[in-house]
Amino acid sequence: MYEENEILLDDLPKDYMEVNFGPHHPSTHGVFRFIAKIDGERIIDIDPVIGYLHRGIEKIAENRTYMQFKPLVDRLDYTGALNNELCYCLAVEKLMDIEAPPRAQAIRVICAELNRIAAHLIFFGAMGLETGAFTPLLFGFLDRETILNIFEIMAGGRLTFNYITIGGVREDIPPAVRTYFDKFKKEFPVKLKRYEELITGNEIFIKRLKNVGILKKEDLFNWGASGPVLRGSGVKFDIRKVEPYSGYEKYDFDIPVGTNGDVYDRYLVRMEEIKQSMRIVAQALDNLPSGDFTAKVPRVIKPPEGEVYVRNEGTKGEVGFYIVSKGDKNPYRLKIRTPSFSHINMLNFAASGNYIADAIVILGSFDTVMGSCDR
Amino acid sequence: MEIINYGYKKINNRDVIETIRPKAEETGVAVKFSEFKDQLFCGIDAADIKKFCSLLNSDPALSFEYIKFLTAVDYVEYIEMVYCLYSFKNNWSIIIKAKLDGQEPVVDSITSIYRGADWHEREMAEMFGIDIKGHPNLKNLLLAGDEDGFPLRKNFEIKWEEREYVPPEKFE
Amino acid sequence: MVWWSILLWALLKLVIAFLFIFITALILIWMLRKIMGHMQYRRGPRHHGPHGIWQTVFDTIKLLGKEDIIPSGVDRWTFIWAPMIIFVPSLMAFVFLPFAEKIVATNIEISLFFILAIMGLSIIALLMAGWGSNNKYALLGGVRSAAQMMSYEIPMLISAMGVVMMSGSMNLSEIVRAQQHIWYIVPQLVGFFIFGCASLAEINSTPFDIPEAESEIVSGFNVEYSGFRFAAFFLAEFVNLFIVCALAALLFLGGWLPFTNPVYGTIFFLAKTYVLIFAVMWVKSTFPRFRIDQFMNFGWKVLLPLSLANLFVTGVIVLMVDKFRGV
Repeated sequence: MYEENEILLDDLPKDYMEVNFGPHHPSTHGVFRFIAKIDGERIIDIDPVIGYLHRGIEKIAENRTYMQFKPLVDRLDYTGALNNELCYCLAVEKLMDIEAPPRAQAIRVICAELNRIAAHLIFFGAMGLETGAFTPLLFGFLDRETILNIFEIMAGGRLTFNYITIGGVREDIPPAVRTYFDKFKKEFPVKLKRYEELITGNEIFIKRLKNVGILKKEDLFNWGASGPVLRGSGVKFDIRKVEPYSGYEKYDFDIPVGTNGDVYDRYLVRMEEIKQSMRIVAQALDNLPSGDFTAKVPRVIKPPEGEVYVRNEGTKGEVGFYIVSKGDKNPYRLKIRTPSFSHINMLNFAASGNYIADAIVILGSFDTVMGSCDR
Repeated sequence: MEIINYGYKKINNRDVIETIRPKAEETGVAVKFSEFKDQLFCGIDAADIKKFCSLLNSDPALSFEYIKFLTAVDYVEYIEMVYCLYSFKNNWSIIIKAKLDGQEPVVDSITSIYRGADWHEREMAEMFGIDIKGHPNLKNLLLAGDEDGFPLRKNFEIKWEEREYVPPEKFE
Repeated sequence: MVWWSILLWALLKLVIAFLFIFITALILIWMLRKIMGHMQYRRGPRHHGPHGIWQTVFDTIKLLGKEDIIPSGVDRWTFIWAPMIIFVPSLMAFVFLPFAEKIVATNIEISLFFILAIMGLSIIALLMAGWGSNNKYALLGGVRSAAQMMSYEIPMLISAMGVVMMSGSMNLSEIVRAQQHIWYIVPQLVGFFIFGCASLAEINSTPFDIPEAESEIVSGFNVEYSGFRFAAFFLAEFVNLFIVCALAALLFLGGWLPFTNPVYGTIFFLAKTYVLIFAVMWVKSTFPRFRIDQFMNFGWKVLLPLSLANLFVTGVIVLMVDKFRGV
């Protein structure tokens, strides 16, 4: 009779349950949808569907001049907007052989690093929300307010800035930035220590995040991952050290690396990067050179013919611009390489075979922004 | 896992050319090198893409294991595919270009060598209409599928049109 | 006329219990929002009334006024009756809770046993809600919650048995009276901890709120409900919270002792219950949630052996003490 039952079970049509984690989802990553085939609680296959935020920026670039296109670059990775602007301006400056003066370079470094702290605070909040704690989200956003106040008096905006231009920055920084940042530097490390005790040392967090989503570096190279995802797996590689741009070789900072390759290590890497960024901003503000804040740039920007690819260490990974110019006012082709695109590409590989709860946490550890993935 | 430190290395494009050229000639791939503002470009035939990329990936002295991006540019008579690879060990970057036919571009997929090229190739297939042979899953990635023409080609008309949205029947 | 007055008296007690439940649920929801707010560097509701007291009332009125949406394809009977059935165990358990020396709606000899048995019936309502909504998220949430509640019933019951052995009766008023010399939390510390964890799992509160995990399955079995049906689930969760904390206060913290005066006794008992509720809300705003397999491991491999060991040790000590006293 047991054999009869077995044959009966083999004849029944079996299929895995398909669940749709739709574009409206409380895990705060923007409009992202994935269709998961699950067997009980285990995921067999993930099929991500993107394109809900596709705005056709690359096609728009072919009909705008270089200066007209610059505000659109902010909207790519809107949590770390100044890094995108920096990369675009560096690419155009490389085509035109312009070099920004030292004061402008120092101001650019300050902007980029402060933006990195702000973006990592959002990651901190979102990571708490993935695992189910509501408080880290509010703590992260509250501390981000101080940084956004600094940005407001410096660049004029809180989320998108249009501050870094081709040849330098748009305006000089007011001296109040120094006072605001000193206050931030005194108060924030205390809070960071408190967050570490509350969250990083929390037993439940460690159980949720450790040994989940382990990725080896050969696979990561093959898939094209970069940034903290790569650094969490033991690759001590940072574009700011390997191909320094905008004066990064003058500053002294460490690169945090993880040894295990799991979600917990990527989380720790980003928390440590916040401290290193504060070091860089303190050094830059201490040794701010005097001089012009922008170089002499012709009125109409017409780069000579050629192609160039410049990359940058953005908040989430490697941001790159590939510009093909034919000597016109408009670029002929502009390709934007974003880290979120490559990371979501990797989601099926990284999350298959895990539980649903783990897949959400792994996606959170990649720290993707849909504006950057869909362009 | 052990930590590998990649520090700052000064690169000389001459070294790269001298290392790649004999190996390429061995496998029978014709390569043309050019330089522009410290960047190394090399042009090859469209049919040799897979051979060249697998040579660059698997050779231990070259070890171009990281794919940065993959894109295409539409010059009206021909479409040029651009592959950008990077080697962590030597800090070398190389940009490979291959010319495809302007009307009916066809190229092989390098997804079997670099798995990260998967979505980049899908995006190029839908934006330029390039027929990529051997790709595991060639569906629309970013577009909705109701445009007439391929958006990033130069002959794509940008027009404003009000269209009614018809939702698909089952989620797909 | 005797049966007429008995019926009227029973009806009056029922109405008082009903009112008490609703007002308690409203107060608890307000308390949760304010406490969570203050712990997160903000202040919670502030506008309606001083410190936002009337906020929950207005929220309930809003929820009651919403359109009653029943999606097509649901199993009508289970979908409609699930929110009504979830109130039944809470209401029935309420009737047996003693508030002071003589203030209890009905006093029977096995009131603890009855309450613990009734609380298990809420699994049915959650399963009905999960199955009846024509939705995969709800199904996942309902099945998860059934697994969770069934696994954590056993440690809860066994840890309560330790108290019963020490006091010698299942009547809640008797248990409280037996704690005159020392509150049972001191000899039964392990039992208190187990009872606390298991009852948090029973009422689906963080860190065990996997059935309504908001970040993965978007509110679990609640997902298709709107309007007053959602309000029913929401209120029922807070009523369960009150009942479980009241039980813990009675079993381990000595109920209304040392006051035997009915007014002072009730106030002291409610104060102890609210201290425990504050502790639960504190945990709710601090901890993340477990993953389903880690948490089943915790229930079956840690809590169950621990509670059995607690039962064994308590039994041995009670026997030895009785023999020592020559009873």
